Amino acid sequence: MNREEEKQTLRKVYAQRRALLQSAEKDAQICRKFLSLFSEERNFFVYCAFRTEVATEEIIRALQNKGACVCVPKLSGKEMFAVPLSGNTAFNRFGISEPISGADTHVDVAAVPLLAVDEEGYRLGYGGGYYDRYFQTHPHVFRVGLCYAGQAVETPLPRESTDIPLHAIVTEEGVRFFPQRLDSENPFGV
Amino acid sequence: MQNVLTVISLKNILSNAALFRRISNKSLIAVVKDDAYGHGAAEVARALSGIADGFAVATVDEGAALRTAGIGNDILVLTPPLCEEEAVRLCGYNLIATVSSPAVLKLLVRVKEDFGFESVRAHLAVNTGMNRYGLRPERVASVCRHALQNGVDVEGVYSHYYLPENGRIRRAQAKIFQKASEAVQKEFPNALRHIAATGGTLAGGELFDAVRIGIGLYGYLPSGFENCGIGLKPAMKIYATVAQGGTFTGGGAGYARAEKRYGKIHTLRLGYGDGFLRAGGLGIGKLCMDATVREGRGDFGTRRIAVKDISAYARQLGTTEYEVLVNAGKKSVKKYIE
Repeated sequence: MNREEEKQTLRKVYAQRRALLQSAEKDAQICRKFLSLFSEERNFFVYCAFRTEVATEEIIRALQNKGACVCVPKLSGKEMFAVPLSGNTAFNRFGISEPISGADTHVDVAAVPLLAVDEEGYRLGYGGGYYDRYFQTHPHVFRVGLCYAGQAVETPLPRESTDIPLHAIVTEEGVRFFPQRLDSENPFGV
Repeated sequence: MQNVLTVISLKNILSNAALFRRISNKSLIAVVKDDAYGHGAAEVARALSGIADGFAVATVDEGAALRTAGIGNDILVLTPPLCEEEAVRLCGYNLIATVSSPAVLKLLVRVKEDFGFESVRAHLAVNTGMNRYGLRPERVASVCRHALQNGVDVEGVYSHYYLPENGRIRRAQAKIFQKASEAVQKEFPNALRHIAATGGTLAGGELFDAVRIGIGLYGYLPSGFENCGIGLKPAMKIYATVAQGGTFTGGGAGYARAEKRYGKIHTLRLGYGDGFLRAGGLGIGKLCMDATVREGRGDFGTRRIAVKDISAYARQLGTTEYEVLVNAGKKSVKKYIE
């Protein structure tokens, strides 16, 4: 099995696992913990939850209610941009809702969906590489995964040189920050 | 008196404490040992008394000083008592002792009886692999029974992650700790369980009942988590006074041959006698005992930031922020801002 086949197999396994882990109660706990952790930040990039991803409607609503700027992903070719959620939306080619228009906007924190995440913060996504490319060009954004505790795995996930690890994950159990000795692009490092 | 000034932001310490509360969602034991890492234990404890569930200090003397300063919260003394005098002062000041061996328990029981203390408060330290202080896990149950029989009130049980950034080691220690805490809670059902310090709290996972935050309170991240991305606010700024300013002449700078011909230079009243490392990092070459020569213009009598980035300074000299903060704090004049 080559590397890409191995990843495809893992994606299937972890997608099934996530489906089993999904629950509205956990979503509510994750929402509460995320909002409490980022109570001072103003500019967010939050995915629009699709299928069994951790729900984000409540997070987006609460952030907007407190006056924060909430951007959501908008795809353009191979790139993804953070575009303010306002005005009309339409479904993109993956069937995910995104704004019809808008430009890439500065954000402080990005909430990222994932299938699995390992001990060093490397995530298994869907294989499109959109988030890695986005973070490559937006290194100062704080990268936080939203997932169920069972999606955090102990064995290292296959990784590419282009993969960019997360700073933290928020699960129903709490917050975990990843040690990142080699990350030199960190905006908050003192 | 060299007039080195440390300006300490209690507001930043409070903000860091609140952040760790939000991250952990557990009780907060604020670690104020070594004079709150050089920030002033009484002032820091006073500022945190509303937000922290308790405090931890290194020695009985530190705990006694907090009581004298009017701190009424629980105070855990992390270093186990060594002699009768320490044990008596622990009980007299209503501090919580660390019981790390049967010998320490024996000492506390003897002092309790000899001096007629009604009860002795203690947390059990369990050796889950750090091999510094703590009972071997298999001895926990018998020590608890002995404590119960002799009126030593075990209010908590704790351990320490020796490499919190390593998930495998952390989980192994947590597993041992879980089992040991169950043994404690059989005799003392309300015993507070804590193992995570700043690093362990950031790493997440099972945090038990409380977290002990030290270096994180003061705005710095522990080894392994330096770049984890969390936005802490450093609380200490170190200033020194310009004692002389002028133009470079000759070929030296302090006790060193100058590497180049400098333009303007100035001398700060800050040296290795003030708790800074002689090796350098603050000006040109090595520090003098009471002075440091720096490049750039400096006006007589003005205050200048002496250490711009405490983390970078510490790393450059092969040490940690802990050492820099504690030493700088010891000999400086402190000014607090709310």
